Amino acid sequence: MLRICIAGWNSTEADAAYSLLRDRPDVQVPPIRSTGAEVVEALRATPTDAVLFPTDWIDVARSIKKIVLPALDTPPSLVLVTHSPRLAIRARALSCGFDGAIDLSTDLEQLVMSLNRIANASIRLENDEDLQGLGIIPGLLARDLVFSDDDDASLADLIATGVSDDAIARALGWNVQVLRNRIAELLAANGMTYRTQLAVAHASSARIPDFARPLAE
Amino acid sequence: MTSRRYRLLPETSRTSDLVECDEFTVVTGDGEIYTSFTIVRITHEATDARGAWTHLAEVTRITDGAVGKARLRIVARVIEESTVTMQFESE
Repeated sequence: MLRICIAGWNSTEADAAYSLLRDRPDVQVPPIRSTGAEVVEALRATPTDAVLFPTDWIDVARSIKKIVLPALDTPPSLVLVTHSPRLAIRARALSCGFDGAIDLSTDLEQLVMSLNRIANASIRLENDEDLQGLGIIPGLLARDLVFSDDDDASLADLIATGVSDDAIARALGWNVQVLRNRIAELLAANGMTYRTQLAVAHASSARIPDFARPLAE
Repeated sequence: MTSRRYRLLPETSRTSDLVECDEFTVVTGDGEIYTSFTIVRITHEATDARGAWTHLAEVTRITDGAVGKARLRIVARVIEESTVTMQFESE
């Protein structure tokens, strides 16, 4: 029995996924969760194999991946469900930590088989042939950056505002050689190849307080 | 004709006499890729060199130890610009 949770208030993609799966004897699917907090509550209360998110919930999923899933004993797979699995959407999903993507126009048997394979990790979004070679770091936008000190944090703050190396060097009172060495170290410490990866990862690292706080007993 | 552009520095010259830090980072790929190097030895001083380079140095890439030659623009003991040509990649 595949235990899934579907998120997505007022989403045609979530509605479509629920309609397809609710009568399947081999899938356990409760009603659609309409808020991020409801998803979190469900995940904490019930063992779940996969959580299905529609396209416009990608950022909610990213926050849950970053803040909630690490605290679960058996974290579920995150699955994007979409009518339009364009490459750009799959790329964004991969960088947000999704494990798989499902095309809702797929034959139902195939869809359920794909869900099972994503849930048991036998297929992964990062192995999607179209995404190979793009240099995407899986989960880049669903993790905290590693800083060695406050200077690293200040450096990342400034890079995330989109300003140049020369401007940052002036702002921090460093010479450009020191600045570039620090950026190189920061990239290496975080497993990144490109300056833009650092900028977008830090710029999108805001926490959602309601997810970080334990739910009231 | 111009005067000689490069002067071989004595092997006893110390990197620390010429730059504050013997590590520097080259930025390539439209400002995206940062690659760090350690200066093994600054071998030549340049005058009126094309591109305003002031020194040549033997360098190693920090991540893998590959060996290369760097052109450096050193101003007030700070490397303001640099380009590196790799000579021996790590194996």
